[in-house]
Amino acid sequence: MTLLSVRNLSVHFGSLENPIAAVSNADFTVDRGQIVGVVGESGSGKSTMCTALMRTLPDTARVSGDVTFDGEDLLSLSSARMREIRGRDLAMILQNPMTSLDPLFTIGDQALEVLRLRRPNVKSTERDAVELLRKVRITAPEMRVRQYPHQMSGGMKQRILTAFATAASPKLLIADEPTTALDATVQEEILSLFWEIRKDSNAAIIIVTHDLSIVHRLSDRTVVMYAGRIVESGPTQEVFGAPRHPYTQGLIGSMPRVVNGMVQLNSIQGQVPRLDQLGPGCAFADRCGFATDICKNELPAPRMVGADHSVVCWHEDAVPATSRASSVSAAQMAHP
Amino acid sequence: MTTNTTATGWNPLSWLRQGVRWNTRRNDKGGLPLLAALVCGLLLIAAVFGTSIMPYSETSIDFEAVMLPPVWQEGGSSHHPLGTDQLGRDSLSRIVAGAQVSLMVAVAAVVFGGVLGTFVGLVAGYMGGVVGTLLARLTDAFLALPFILMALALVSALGPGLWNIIIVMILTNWARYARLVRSEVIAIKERDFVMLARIAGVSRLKIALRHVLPNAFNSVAILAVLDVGRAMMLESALSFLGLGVQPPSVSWGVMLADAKSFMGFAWWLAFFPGAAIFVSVLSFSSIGDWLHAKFDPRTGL
Repeated sequence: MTLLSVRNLSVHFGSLENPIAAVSNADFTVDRGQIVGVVGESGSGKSTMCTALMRTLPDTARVSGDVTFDGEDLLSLSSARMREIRGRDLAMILQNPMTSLDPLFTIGDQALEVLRLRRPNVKSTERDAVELLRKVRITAPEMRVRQYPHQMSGGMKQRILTAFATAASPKLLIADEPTTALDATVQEEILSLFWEIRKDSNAAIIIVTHDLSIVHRLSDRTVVMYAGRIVESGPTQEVFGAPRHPYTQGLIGSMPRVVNGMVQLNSIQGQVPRLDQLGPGCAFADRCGFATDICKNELPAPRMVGADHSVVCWHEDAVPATSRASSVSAAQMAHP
Repeated sequence: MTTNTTATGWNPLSWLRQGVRWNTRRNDKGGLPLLAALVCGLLLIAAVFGTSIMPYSETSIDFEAVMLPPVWQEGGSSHHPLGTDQLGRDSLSRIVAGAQVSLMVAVAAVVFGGVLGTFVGLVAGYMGGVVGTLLARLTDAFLALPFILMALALVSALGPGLWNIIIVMILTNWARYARLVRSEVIAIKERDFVMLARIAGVSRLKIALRHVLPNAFNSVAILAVLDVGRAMMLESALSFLGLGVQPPSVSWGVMLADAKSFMGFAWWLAFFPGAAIFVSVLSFSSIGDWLHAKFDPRTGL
């Protein structure tokens, strides 16, 4: 059942005469309890798209399109109603846990602030704050509630922030690069925490990341973004098993692999184009091995290539089978 | 980024051990300047209890003890350790009484000016947009006005006097706080925890009061302590010019003004109030500097 449906979402910055599209015509849906991974390079519009969903972009951003969340049109809601939905039904976790807590207040104080906001009619006490922390498996929560943010590690803070974000059992949790600032072992803890949250409360989760292995292991659907556009989206198994967009292939091909005992590292040639210098055609054309004249001059329309799998490319048919096969090794990675 | 990792915290014992030092260099967050703290403490005691513990009233005239030099000079009397003035008033008593006026004016100017400026700065920085820009330009305009000229104009409109001088100083002082708080607020409101509070659905007013303002408070407190010294000096300057405290009320500036006709042969009349101003201002400045070095994480980098 569809929880979030995004149609034609665009975010423009800059002057009206010369706008820069940080996100162009994004289309995707998220079902209840579904984990959706959004991947792409830096600057591809992943974070902007999610921030647009929360309606917390700066005033200079111009957002257009249709966003339906749980039956309500998010973009046209009053700001008071939006504030009710934010945090309660629609929660978000940011990239850097080190700066996401107010340094002046104890964890307990901040937990209570969250709890009081969520349940204005219930008197929340320190015990409730302790319980909140216990849910995300913080050790010795009785001690932690009296501590300040600088006394904790990044992983602990990210778990605390996850606890705050999910205090009201949101229907959708947006995690904007939740593990980028953490080291590998702590990443695992956070990811399994997400897994549990989904299992326990059937919350849908959007994970924004540039780490493909996270998306591959955790998400049900994968959305690939490039230069502000969604270039491919579909079930994770299909996208990783048989990527149809040359960019997705390149991304998957550039995951580190071990071949005959040697680590192999491939990369996509060239660089992400500047958003203010995009031509009329496909933004990936300059870096694409399959590009022809039409790619440079005309924007391809999304095409369905599977039951629930769309790709935005002129040449998705021309993609050779061998290059699809090269991604199989990535698809063989373990699923949790 | 807050990278302040000093783990020492609030430890008065270590301040004692780290010793007396006037000069707290920027990068070593040295001990509390003890001497300065002592002076400020004495000043506070003088201001609170001064007039009741002094043997003479600051206005009691004694024509049998006119122009006495300090006690260690020939002709000095042990009843008037710092000498007397042309009307036989006791210098020490007048300095203590003056401390009360000087400190009261300075603290009132700093507190009211600080509150007003902090409010303006918070609104300007947090709201931004047209209102924010207007307030910021108003602040700049006030900072650009020459203080003495503005004080002259205001005093000639309001008339001299204790409360009017406080009003003048508030009007000329708030802008410094407004500018500081505005710049702090602009930086703080971009930080992740403010963003998360918005995402969590906290109202803008609550974010401003609960998360933005407390994080800007450190800087305001430091500026306020530094400013007490500055305000004392301004008060003295205004009183010296006859715009401030009016006789028979006494402040250090008034004493200096009185003394200037007798400077040639009664050095003590000008020296002791002048020294009082000098030492107090220096003390407040060094304590402010110390606070700055101790609580501003950027100086440690």
